[in-house]
Amino acid sequence: MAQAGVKGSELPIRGPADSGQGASTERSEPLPIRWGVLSLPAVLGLLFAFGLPIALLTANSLFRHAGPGRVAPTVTLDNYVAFLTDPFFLRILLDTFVLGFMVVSICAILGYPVAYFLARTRSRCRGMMIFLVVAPLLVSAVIRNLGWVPLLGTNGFVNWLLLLLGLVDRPVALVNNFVGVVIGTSHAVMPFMILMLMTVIQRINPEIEEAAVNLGASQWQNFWQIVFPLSIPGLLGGYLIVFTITISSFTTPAMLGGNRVLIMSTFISQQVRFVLNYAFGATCAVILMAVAIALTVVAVRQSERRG
Amino acid sequence: MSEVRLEHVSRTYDRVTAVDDVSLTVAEGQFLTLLGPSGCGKTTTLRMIAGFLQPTAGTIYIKGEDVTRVSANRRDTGMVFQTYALFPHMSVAANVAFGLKMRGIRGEAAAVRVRDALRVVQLESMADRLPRQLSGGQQQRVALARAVVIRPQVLLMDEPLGSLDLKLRQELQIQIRSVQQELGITAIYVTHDQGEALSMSDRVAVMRNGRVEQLDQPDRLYSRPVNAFVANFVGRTNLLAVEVIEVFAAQSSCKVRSTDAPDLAFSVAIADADRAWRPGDRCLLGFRPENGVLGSTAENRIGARVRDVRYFGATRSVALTNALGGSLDIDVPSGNPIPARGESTEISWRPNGCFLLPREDS
Ligand SMILES: Nc1ncnc2c1ncn2[C@@H]1O[C@H](COP(=O)(O)OP(=O)(O)OP(=O)(O)O)[C@@H](O)[C@H]1O
Ligand SMILES: [Mg+2]
Repeated sequence: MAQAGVKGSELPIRGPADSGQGASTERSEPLPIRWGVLSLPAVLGLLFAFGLPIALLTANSLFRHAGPGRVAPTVTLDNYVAFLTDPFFLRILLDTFVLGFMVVSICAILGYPVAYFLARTRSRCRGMMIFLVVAPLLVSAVIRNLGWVPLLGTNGFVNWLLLLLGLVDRPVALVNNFVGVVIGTSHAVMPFMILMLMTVIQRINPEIEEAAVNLGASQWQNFWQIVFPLSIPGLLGGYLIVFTITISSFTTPAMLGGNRVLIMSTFISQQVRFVLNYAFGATCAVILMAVAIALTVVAVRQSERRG
Repeated sequence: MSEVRLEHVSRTYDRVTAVDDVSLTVAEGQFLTLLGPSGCGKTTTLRMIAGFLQPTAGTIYIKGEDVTRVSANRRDTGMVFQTYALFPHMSVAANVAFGLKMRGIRGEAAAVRVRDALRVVQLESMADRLPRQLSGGQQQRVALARAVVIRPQVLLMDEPLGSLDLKLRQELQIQIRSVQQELGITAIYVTHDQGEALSMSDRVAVMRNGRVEQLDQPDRLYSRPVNAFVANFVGRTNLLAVEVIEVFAAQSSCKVRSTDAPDLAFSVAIADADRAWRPGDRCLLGFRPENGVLGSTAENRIGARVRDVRYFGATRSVALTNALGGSLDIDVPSGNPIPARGESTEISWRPNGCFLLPREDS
């Protein structure tokens, strides 16, 4: 009897692909055209402000360097070959990646608890707390970095604290080097990671966590088996934004790296502003962009696969 | 031996008292339902038993053991949520296996139990699907399988059918009840649907404002409600304000008269021995719509005028205005003749088809 009753409840299975579509498709048909027209200004604007310079840049990278500040319009791949075969240049690219991954890791590890707290708290001060997280974005990069210098210097607060706690017995170099760049950049991009994670964690039904605990999961198991896997789209999104901003950032590496940190952005600036080798500067820029695009595609694919 | 016992359990949020001095016991293998209107404290009570909330006072026992301070993941309860709360990144089988994995049961032993649990809810063929590839009813059955596969001491369900349509709800009511009986699991079920409570439960606790108003078997709840709130929340009731004039033979029956029209007298057979009525007591006389008949065939009678008739298939519901200006509802089998709208008639009912209730303000 129960069996017969249950048969009737076998509703058609909805796959992820066809959910929310169907009847509404027909009605929304005229929409794309109108929206297409309305988005023309933005598309044209982007084309001129973004597409054109990139086209010129790419063109420059394919020309030969013809003395300071000049290029000869002969198409060649020499610049790319020069970059990709010289360990010195490859090292710069690698350092850029290392910086990116370090910053992403620091943001993910330090930002996760904050994001989880903000996603789950019912405090009345939640809005205020989110504002505080976003606050670093309201300060110009120059001001923010100027603030870090006295904190990280040999006689700065951080070293004073480390000495006081007996963690080191001589001041450590925290600025005008790679460490300084990592610290400064992490601080600057942390809000993006936190906001990305927060929105994704917020969408995890709290009852799912309760179900896990109810079934016997400890806090640790609940985190690693339920919360963490479900927040991976947020981590991917955060990684995407943080990594691309970091590998293309210039102000912070320049200010906190003290001319000693050579990553792609600072190196490109050297080529263009001091060496005046526009062709090679353009080549580096194109390579950096290609890498960023490749990573974006991978991350987007991943998060799409996880639905 | 009682499987679950609550002793003077209370819970306050800030200044709101959500659960107020609740004591109840659920025997082994029994199905108890917490029934009550929105905000009466059902969810709060259930979550305290599950361990998600700490009572502000009182003690909770499971299998005779005080679990009041035991954390939720060590209480060995199985919970079914209204939102299903399936793990969206795990297959149906992995969802069901989760509780087993947390108990260190893996491999073939776990696989066998998962298969059995899915067979009980008739979802064996869906083991490899993801939750989002299932309908609402199927998801809720997975949630049920996931909760019972660990053979918990007590199965807790918080309005598990709340978001399903009527037909599916009725099917799943039958299925939940049969799974519970087949496995002999002690169960506590939360609902605000009185029909669901009456049809599924061994016992029902009717709650209001954080308190248990009555805890009884469904048929007793219906035929002998302890007060007007229960009488109205569980089924429909016709109420008349009356005063006791005479009590017969050791509380077996009594005579009452209307407080509005002293010449209207009624006889009532008293069944609940725990309340002693005395002449002069002011109270309410109640009878169910199906216990009233059109015409003057039974002993208790009151004049009434037909106001409205609604058709419900097997019965017609006749709404009348009684001689005192109050409202009355009578259910009449569909074949029977019914006076026309506006016509005057008489309503009657038998002394053992009615009950006395205390006045709310006394
Ligand atoms: N987290 C909370 N903070 C403050 N008050 C709460 C909280 N949760 C519940 N309450 C209050 O406690 C009372 C009981 O709530 P509860 O959720 O137990 O009701 P319920 O019987 O489950 O109702 P429903 O049928 O609507 O689910 C309500 O008055 C509610 O407003
Ligand atoms: Mg509730």
